[in-house]
Amino acid sequence: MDKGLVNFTALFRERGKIVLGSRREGHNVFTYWGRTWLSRLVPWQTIASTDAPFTNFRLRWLTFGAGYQVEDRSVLSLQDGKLINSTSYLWPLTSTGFSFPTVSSVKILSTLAPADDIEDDIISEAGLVVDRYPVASGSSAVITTVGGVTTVSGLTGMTLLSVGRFLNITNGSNPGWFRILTWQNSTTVTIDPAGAGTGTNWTESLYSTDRTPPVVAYKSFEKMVKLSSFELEIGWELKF
Amino acid sequence: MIHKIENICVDANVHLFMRERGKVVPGSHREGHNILTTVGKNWLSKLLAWKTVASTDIPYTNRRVRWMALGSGTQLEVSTVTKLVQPQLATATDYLRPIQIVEFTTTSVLFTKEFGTSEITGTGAPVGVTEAGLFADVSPATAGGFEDVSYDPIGNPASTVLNPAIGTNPPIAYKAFEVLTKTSDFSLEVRWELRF
Repeated sequence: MDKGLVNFTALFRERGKIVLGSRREGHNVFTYWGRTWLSRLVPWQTIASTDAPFTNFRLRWLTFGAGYQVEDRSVLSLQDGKLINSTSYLWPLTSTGFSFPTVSSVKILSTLAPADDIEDDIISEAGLVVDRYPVASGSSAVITTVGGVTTVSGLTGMTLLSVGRFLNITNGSNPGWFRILTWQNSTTVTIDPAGAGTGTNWTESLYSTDRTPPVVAYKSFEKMVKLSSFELEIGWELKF
Repeated sequence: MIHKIENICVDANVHLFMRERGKVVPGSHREGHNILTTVGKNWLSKLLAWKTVASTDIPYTNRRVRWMALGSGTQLEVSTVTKLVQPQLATATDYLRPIQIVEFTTTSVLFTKEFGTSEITGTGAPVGVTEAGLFADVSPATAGGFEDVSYDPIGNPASTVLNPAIGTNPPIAYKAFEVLTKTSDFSLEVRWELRF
């Protein structure tokens, strides 16, 4: 048996210097959602001359909030997500943000510049979100509502990891973003029935203005107030 | 602040047993925890990350768990294991055999491979099996060779995929156990579970 750790650091810098008292660090939790993701990431779905994976989701976004909740594996999302630059609850990791400080660990480093604004300027929780681009899409969705349950079939590549993401229906009556509630099989999911229409063109994606994207790792910490002169530096390390 | 320390664990469990004409052979069960090797931890840390985050993301590695192999040697189950001590040919040419079945719970994955009556014991002589390895690989090799680690030190140092005909491929997980004498009357089923 092997026990790894997830370590988190956050601090402010002002003109390059660390702001006194701003450092937050500690272990944090890898959620059940993260463990589900890993169990689907590791195997091949099809082993052949061209292998096919169950999922290609990898660490891609940070998300910040101002809530508090117990750092427990059962955490699904932030308690009180905050908009970044008034546009999105997702902050992209960058290609240069990944490093491998030891042979068995991966470290993520991300920086919000002084000009990057966090809603209400306060953060006290953070999460890691997995995703991939390009996202899955198609044009043969079939939407059916029976007994108040709306099912969408005719999709491709759906997995348990689709739960909590969204289907963006872009044609037909009532196009829009619909949260995926349950996964049924590789081509079928159920969605939030509110407003479901008749469209067939679909894209499976995270919704940048969804305050509660599912997180694979979670950390809560003492409140930090980001001033417009502060740069926010986040470090997140997963050791196996 | 309310928190408790949680770790990110990879518990690996192996269960082996033999069958003769479908019936489990008494005394052939072997089971226990096993180790994720340094190669496995290195692979896992790279599997999580994107090398390029863009409109078309590119991963560091596309390897996933793909092969199992058996051997007749034994060594300490420590993370520094880099190969089977005495690998056994599963077929006339190959040491590595592909995973046959993948099953899940919410947070675990179970890999199953049944080595048939003609596998491992292709020559007809009994073989004492005492070690097993799990291997990550991809087919075809990814254009551009971003798999990061060369795994074929003998055949082709520039290769980014494993060569199943080589016995010294590095396992991501390893298990040693009491000898199981496989004859051509027996099939040997290996169930390998990774719990996260």
